[in-house]
Amino acid sequence: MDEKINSVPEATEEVSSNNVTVADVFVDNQDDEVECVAAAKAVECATPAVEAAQCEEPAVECEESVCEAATEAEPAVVPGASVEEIKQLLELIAPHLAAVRNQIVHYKEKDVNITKANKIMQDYREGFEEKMFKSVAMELISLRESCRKTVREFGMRQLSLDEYKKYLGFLVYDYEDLLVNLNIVIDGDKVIYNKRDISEAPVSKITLAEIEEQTYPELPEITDYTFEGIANYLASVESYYDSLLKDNAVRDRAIGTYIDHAALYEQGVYQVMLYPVISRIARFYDKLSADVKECVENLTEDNAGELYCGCMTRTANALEGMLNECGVLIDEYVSDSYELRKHRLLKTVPTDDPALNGRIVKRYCDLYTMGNEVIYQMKVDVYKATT
Amino acid sequence: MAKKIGIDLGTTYSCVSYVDEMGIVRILDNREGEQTTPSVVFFEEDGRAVVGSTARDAGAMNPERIVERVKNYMGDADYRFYANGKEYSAAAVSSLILKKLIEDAELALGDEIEGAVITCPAYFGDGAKYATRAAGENVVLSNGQNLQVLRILDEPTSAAIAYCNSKHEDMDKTVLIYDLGGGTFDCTVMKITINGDEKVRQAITTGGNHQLGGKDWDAALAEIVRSKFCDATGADENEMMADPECIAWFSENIEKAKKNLTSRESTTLTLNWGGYKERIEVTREEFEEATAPLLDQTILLVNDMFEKKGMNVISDIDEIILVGGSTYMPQVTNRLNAEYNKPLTSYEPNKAVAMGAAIVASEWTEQQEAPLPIGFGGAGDEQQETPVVTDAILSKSYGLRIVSGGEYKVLNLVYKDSPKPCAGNSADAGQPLVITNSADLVDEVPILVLENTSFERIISLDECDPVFVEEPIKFDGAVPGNNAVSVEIAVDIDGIVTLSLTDLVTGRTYQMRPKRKLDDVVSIGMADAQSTSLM
Repeated sequence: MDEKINSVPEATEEVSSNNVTVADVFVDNQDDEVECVAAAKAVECATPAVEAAQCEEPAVECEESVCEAATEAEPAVVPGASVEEIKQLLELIAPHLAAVRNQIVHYKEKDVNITKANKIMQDYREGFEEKMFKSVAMELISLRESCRKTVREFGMRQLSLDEYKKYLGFLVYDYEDLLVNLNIVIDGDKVIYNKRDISEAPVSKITLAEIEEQTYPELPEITDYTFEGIANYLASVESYYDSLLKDNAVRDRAIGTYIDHAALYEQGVYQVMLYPVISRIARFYDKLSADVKECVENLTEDNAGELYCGCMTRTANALEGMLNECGVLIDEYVSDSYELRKHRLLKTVPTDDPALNGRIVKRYCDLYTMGNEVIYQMKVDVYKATT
Repeated sequence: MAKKIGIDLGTTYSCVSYVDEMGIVRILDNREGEQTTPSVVFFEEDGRAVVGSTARDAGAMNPERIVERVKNYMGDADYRFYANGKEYSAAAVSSLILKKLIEDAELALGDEIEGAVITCPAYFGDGAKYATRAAGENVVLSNGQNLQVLRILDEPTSAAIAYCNSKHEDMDKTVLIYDLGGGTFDCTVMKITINGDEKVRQAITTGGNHQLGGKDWDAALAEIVRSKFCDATGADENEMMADPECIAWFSENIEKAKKNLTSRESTTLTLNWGGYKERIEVTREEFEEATAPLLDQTILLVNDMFEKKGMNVISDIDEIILVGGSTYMPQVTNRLNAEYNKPLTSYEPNKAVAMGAAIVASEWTEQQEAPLPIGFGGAGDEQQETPVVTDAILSKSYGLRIVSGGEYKVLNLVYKDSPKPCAGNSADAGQPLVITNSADLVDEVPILVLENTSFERIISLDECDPVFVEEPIKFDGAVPGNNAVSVEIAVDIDGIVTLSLTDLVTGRTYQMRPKRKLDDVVSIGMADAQSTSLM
């Protein structure tokens, strides 16, 4: 508090250079809007990095400067209340706001620590993603693109019923290969990953990404200086801080969940983050087997193509969901023109039209990205102008 | 404080490393976050260049602007690459790769680089090493200075140094370094003596085949898969291999299958082409049978190297060190065990070369000055005295053309496997020369210097390659033409050859100014490379 008071003269000096002072605001201006703007400007001058009404800190600064201004300067006249009553009201408000501020500061410090922990976890996750999620993702991508290629090239050759059945069977075998490559073993109801039973591993219900996407409401502003207006303002401020604290609690919980997981499994702490998607991959095997079995049993000359392609498509879609859970984004378009990094050129198609140079002729697969990294390029044929 | 780093300048991939304050050797990531940088350069139309992973992507539409595997041409005076109306020597292109490696290293370290040890294959002769050093010296650092090339280090020696550095117990061993990489095979014999803190590394001999590597194993496995698929489906193999999507599938899946066979007895791939699908199973046994001839080649090269040296693996070697990613294959260890029955140690197969270079760089002291930078017109003006470092040996022999028995032959003055630096002269070899029969002063000598891999004193001219352009070689001074003179061939620590002439009458020695065929070539494109911005 003393530090804040001591900082005021500096702020005043800076503000003075702009010919505006805190005292000036409350002494000279009758206009509420100008007062708010000027107060915000005073805050800006004092703490140039902070924008008023954008986050907690300036909220504190705003409140504080209002408090200090209130204690130092004569309050404005408010219709329906005497100057003395307003003074008393503000004196009542001040400790309440101070308590809220202390609470916020406390949580802010906790937030800083949580943010640091978040960052560490994120760094682990990103480093981990590169090494662990990526290897999982590459297996899923390989099978997904195989399914999509099957559908894309359907009709290239007339298949017999036996071949449909055989190729559907291959899909199950391919999925079994995927499980082997990922060191996943399904043992009845158990899922064994890297020789560990992960069947009972809790699944996170909230991700860091979801937490970070949460936006915070605007800090309420006092506009009505009547008793009722001030009471409403206090209520909305309380509600505002309440929601902030709840969001922090949510974040706490997510971090706590990850920390609990890490505490439970000592080998490769970061592997814990894989368990949800590994579990999902393992559980899909039974669904896939059942789907293929049903298709095979119902195959006829008339519906074989439809059932075959349908099964492939459903599998590709399921794999897409698993890839999303790995943090992979899939783009089936990218652009009409060849793009470095995102496209892998398979062949150029000559053209006499210079306008077509660099345009995509054919796309063979999707683009897969993880964060900023392209992990699987879209294979394309591209026009190349001969002139 | 400015750092000294090690650079493994590879044919297909390059790698940078350094020794940190704790004495731990670390590999530096490039700005793309990769530990290895593809040795690929793409020249943009606007004059900028792209080096590394994105170069292949950037150059896909214009493959004529991409340069790959330029290392294979480092000693080739006829090699040129053309882009944007300019021409580049192999050294100039390599200079761009080194520029990228240095810039990324400075970014990763947050510090300036002042010097680097650059590795090269053991089979590199004088010309290729000269070009490599020139490429390094052409790089301008962030402080405006040119990179100081501390040493040009043979790759197998570098790997052995890294291995030696990892050992802390006393030892006195002779080891065989078996380095099977992606594109090359090298073998080196080295004696390692550790006594407390004192570590002595002495290279004894080296050999290999720079056209043999893991890529040949990949090709063999791909052939097995293709063959089985075509047999099962009736598909046309030529049509398959003309399909770019099929080629891409093979490049993505074959190496993965090869790695699977390292840990499993078999692997299965599902190949989907032309409307056909087949699951192709390849057993480790099939794969090893198909690639046995490749492995045989490496064994033959090792045995040949020992035979030429009058040594024997079984009696003279204590341990075999495995380097290079391809040594992970069980067939390599099984075969070496069966052939030699010696302890096998796998040491950082993919990083050992870069690590060794970093260690040598970190050991570099101010007393050990590198040879003066090579100008593009000839060798350095002075020979700095450097201590003999026995971990470096000559990979070639060097000699003079003489007339023997009425025909041209070569008299070797310095021999392969001699520790560097070293020198030999014609007088000591029993061949003092007389330049002319006249007493008139002369300032040039009509001699030819050649390199070869023989241990013989006199060999056929056909087995040798010239080091310098055949023309009278000038020297700094003049001697009566009929004075007996001796020509000395000196090879510095990097394996680069210099010449001097001694008047045996007066005892005075003169530096010679030989001209390499590369001298006019290595500078081509160097200024452009230096000023080229990297994307």
